[in-house]
Amino acid sequence: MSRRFTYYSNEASTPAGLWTFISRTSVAGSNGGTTSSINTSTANLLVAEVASYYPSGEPTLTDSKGNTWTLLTRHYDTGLISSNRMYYCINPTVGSGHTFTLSGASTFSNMNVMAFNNTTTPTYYAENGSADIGNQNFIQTGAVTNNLANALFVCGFSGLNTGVPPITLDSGFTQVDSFYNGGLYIAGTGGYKIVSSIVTLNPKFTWSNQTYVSTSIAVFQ
Amino acid sequence: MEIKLKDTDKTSLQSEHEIIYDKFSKSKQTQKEKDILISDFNDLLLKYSVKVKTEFIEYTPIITQ
Repeated sequence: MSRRFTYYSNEASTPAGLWTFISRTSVAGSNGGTTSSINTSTANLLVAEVASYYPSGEPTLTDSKGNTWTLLTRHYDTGLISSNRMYYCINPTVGSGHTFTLSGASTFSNMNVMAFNNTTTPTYYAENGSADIGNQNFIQTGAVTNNLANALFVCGFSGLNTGVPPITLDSGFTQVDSFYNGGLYIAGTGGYKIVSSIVTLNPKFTWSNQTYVSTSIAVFQ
Repeated sequence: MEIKLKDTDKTSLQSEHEIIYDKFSKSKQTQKEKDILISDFNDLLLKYSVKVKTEFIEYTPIITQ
């Protein structure tokens, strides 16, 4: 069974500026953990995709600059195994030595944090997500469309460790770190794509013999 | 409403996970041992997901929030 939802914000958009990827980092662990530090000095958008084990409750995301994060929809499979949620922070406090901490006992979680710069103030535009419990080899996030050129798409994936690595991501996304270590955390990965025109994207995560998977995707302009 | 394990179940989950993981972290693992670890870990996650579902008599229909 697969469920897909699309949400669009009502925010009026100003002309979108140009996007630049700045840096990224990640962490994984039974109880979360803290990432290695990155320099976010020129970033004005931070996005994190968080994969976690649903029954243990959701891990908490904090960072060394004390930023406040906005949470998008938590997508999870009906077997209540994996969940994936996107977090973001516009105009965050930034700097060198920036670390990110995921906290939560037995959440078996992992996270990819990505920092971006936009030449204007970034805005959140839309999100989507999906989940599936069946044995198959891929899952798509559900389609999302930007309404201004120069948009940023970020997506994430979570799943039970039944698949055979690697997890791959299509549609021209740059894939970030992947986690497969059954024994410590659920599987997860993510990616981002910067576009210069209006497009509809529905990226596909492919993983042999995947079960109990969930995804999320968000668009910023 | 978020559905999650009771604190006592979460403690049990932690203990059972530690037992599984300790078994394999003490020595260099062969691929076969790693596969067993992954299988045991997956079984543990499945077991507690069933628990969280059955222990809540009333829970929200499965929707994303």
